[in-house]
Amino acid sequence: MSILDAWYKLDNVAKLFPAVTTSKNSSTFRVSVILNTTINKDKLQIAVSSVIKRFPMFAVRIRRGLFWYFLEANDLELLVKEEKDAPCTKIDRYENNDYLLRVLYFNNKISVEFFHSITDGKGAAEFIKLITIEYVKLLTNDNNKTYSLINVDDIPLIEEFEDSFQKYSCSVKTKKIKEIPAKKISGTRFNNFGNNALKIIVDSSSYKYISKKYGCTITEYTVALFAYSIYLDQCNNRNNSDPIVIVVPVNLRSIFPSSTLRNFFSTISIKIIPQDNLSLSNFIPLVSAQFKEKLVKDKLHSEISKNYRSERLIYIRLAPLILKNLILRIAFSSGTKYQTAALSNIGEIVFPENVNKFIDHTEVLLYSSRKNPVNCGVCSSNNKLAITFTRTIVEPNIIKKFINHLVENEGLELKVFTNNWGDV
Amino acid sequence: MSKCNFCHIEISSNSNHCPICLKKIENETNNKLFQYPIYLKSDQSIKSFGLKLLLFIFITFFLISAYINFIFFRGFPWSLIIGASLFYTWILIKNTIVGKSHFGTKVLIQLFGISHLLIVIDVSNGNLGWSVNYSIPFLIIISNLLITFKIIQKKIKWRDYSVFLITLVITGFVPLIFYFVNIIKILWPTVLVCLLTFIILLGFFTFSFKRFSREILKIFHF
Repeated sequence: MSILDAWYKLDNVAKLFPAVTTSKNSSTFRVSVILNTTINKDKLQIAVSSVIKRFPMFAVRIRRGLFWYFLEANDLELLVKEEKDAPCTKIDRYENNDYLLRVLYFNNKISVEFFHSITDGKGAAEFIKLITIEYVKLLTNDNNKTYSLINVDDIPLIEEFEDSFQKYSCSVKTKKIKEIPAKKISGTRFNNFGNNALKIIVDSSSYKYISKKYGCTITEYTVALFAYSIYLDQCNNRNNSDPIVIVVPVNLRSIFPSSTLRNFFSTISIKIIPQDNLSLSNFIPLVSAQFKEKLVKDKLHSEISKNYRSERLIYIRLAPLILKNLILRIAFSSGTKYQTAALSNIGEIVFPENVNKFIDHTEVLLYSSRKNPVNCGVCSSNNKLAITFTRTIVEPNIIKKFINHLVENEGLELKVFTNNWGDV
Repeated sequence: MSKCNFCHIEISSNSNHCPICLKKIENETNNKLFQYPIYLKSDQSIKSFGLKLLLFIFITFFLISAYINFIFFRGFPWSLIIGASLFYTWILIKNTIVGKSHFGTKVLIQLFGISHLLIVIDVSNGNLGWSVNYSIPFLIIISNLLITFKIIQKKIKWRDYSVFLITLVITGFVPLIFYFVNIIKILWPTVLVCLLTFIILLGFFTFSFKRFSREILKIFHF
């Protein structure tokens, strides 16, 4: 069978996105690398054309079957484009040679935007890392092999194609927990829908030191501060407010022995019930305790098993795609009631030493929607931590509270970059 | 980078206001440092406005025609033909000319669009049955041939058209059902469509059985 005949079933999480994606809920996230020099389009194109061959699971397009969507190999060229639109807009297959990812450049920045059915933050980070390595090699005429976990000349491993949800699901009984609707962030919508991106660059070591001072991790501290900023801005009647729920994606590869480059994540919900006179010191132990309670292998195992089992029910499998899409849309719409915002920390993107000197920092952007109007992406490289907020509302007040705390209470020096989308 | 003296942060932005407190800051002059572009009005929004305007004109024109036809009715519902023509023109512009959909989709939509227009003209002129008896079977033949030639021309793209081929095969046998329920009265064009569809199907089974069965497997996997 030729490579062009290859096709893949969508993994458990990937099945949701084609059904619920609209121009205002793009299911598209971005990972960027900011270099020290202006990007050369031609060299970037050469790098991308060679790297995409190493990631055949990303060189795909999506098609409709009678019962499910599926992915099949795409032999068209993946073209790099100059960034012109707001980040994380819905990927138009006709403008993108049928690919479900984009490679963009702007000034010093290389970005990849992925439709979430293809991969998660980890897969995207590996992809852009290899593009950057190959690009720097071309830039420096360096033909030496640069060692990273994945090399462009390697043959793709079968494990990288694996549907780990299927592999690690098992039959466990799960209790149904009754959820209560979460606090929704209110604000004035932009006239033209799009993601306003505001990135904060802070020294990683200083930020880690502050987190340690509170006895928590960087993710826990950031989630707590994000929730606290929402509390300060949105919970006017603090004793009578719905809980603030921050949804945090969890990379399951750190829990299960998987090397898949397709989706393999779950989410945990960090819930804070607003009360009068709470301070950040009250938020942090609540957040940390929930991380410890929910980031447990057994719980995540039963969660992925529950989701996988529901997909395998015979009456679900035999329902036509059009009906499945309808059910998924209803389920997704009701699911968003239980979330206030999302925060994803994809961790540190580590480059080989000879490449690292060309890198300034990295960033990750989540897509925001009408129902989740403010989200936050975190990643770090080169001792620079990038906390990027994307929002679809005019008011920057939550972000303002977040920044004010870091500057005034923690004494951190921040650099802020913004795309000014929707600003007057 | 610019500095906001109120927020005490350094800012890189193409605006001369702090994105946090909205107070005025010194604008940065070195746009090489910007990490996001300045957004221009996209062609997409201009196109979208143009299509909305066209739709508005078409609906208004149809409503005025329907009103005049109703007030001065002489037994001939000509406004229905105008409505169907406008609807077809709308499909032609939106899907076939402006739209970027697949060639197969365009052929299918044209088939349904033209068929609908012909049926309305036929019914408005006394329901003589020429549309279903002759025109639509021949339209199906043309659509079938267009898709088949496209597949032969671009062998490697076979899978791109397989779904449309399957749809057209189904469409090819629909006139036969219409014949048995007495909607179609003339047999030979209907049989001609079925025969051609069968020959095309046989051709694909003979020359591309593996590909065809792989497509079936993909499309029907559950």
